[in-house]
Amino acid sequence: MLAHFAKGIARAASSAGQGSRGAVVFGQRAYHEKVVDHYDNPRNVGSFDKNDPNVGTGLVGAPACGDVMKLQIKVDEKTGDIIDACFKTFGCGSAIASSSVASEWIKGRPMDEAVSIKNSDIAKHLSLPPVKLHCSMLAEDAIKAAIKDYKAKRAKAGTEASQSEPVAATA
Amino acid sequence: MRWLGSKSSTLRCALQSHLRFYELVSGDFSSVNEPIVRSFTPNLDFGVVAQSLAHDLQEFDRSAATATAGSFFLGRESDRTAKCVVTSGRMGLESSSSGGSCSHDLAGGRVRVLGRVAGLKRRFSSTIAKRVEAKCWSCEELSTANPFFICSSCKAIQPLDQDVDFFQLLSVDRRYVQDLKVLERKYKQLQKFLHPDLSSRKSKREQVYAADQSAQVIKAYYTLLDPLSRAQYMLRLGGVNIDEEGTIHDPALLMEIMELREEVEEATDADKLVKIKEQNKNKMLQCENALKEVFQSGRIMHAVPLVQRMAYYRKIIEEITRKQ
Repeated sequence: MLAHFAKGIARAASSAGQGSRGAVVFGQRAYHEKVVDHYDNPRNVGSFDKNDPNVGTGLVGAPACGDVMKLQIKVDEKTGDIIDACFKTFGCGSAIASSSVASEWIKGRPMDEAVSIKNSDIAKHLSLPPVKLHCSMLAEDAIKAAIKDYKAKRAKAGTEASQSEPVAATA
Repeated sequence: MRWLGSKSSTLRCALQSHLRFYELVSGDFSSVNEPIVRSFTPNLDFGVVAQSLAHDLQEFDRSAATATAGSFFLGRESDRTAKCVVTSGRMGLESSSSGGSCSHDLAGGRVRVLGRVAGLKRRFSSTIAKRVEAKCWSCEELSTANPFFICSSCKAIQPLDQDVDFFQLLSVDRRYVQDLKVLERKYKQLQKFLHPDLSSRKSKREQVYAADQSAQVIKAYYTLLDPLSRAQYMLRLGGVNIDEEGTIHDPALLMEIMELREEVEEATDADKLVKIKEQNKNKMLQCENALKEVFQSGRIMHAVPLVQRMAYYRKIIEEITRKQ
């Protein structure tokens, strides 16, 4: 683990050498201002009722760093647009900032578009150093998991509805 | 990381040594068709290969007979050669025809195992006798000491050998269950003659070696002392890199962790925090006990979810400590 960590430092140091603006202070790695902003003022923190049929919940984790991330979406069932999103993340600043950005970006977007958000887009937006790329990966996985959960829920509700229809007709 | 394999009825290990190329082969190849390729990280010895091999075979084919094979492509810069003697009988192969013994030279760098494997029966616990023939850099005296810290003849401190794993370094058995008092004793014994302060009158070269050796011993001690890092280290020795495991989706575990983290976040009084901390310590203990069984049985892949779970509990405890 130490070797892994040291590699990360070395990589961060080499990227610092290339002059990534604002990411390095006096040779010591610091968070980019955008990360700090999202960390201090996270957008859309909260929870939706996970039993709401219009809500999809993505729960993902990165055991290596002990991060756990919950991202929820509220979907307009007619248009398939994500009308609202919220998240709750326990983890490092980069993980919180990544999920905050993700929740902002997916709001108002159709699900098909939201699912195409790449972790590299989030990482680029936040200027995450290489060692923190997995945090943005977690956010991407959370979006995908939330949409998958929503679709699974709708499919299940659909089959249940079709099953209950004949019962309703006979009653 | 899947092994491919098919059955073979006999096992006979033979050693074919060439310059920097050693092959451990099983006897009967007639019924073995498919090659097995697996990459391992450095600091690996045959016991580990055998153990993970046994595990995968168990998964692959429980009814398979016996036989194992592997070719080791080795490369290293140093002239030091470690010899590892593995007796197949000792490795617990349940085969009467597996009386042969094999040996191969250990080396650093990446070890690629290419072999043809048939089956192994059930339990597979390896015992390894390791013999080292190392040459002192100062007086060129040969030594069989492993790990080789100090030359017995000229008392020169030797360079750190990266191929020696933490268990070997502290001369304890490679297993998950460890007596922490023994570990501490071994650690202190080593530091008594490796501590850099003791070599201040020695040559610059030896000072560097002593510092390296001493640092490695500290690293080894603290890695093996902690039940979580010990498990992670054993997984790494077995070729499973848990640090690079990606996202997990286990809803039951994640929900539990999420709730625990929320509980910690919302807790305002100190008593509550102490209580949650105790609960988490108990949960870690449960994981540790489960890991003991898993490592004992040699099914190291089963240790992965336990280690992940344990890492989460550890994180919660750290969070509580930070808050207290």
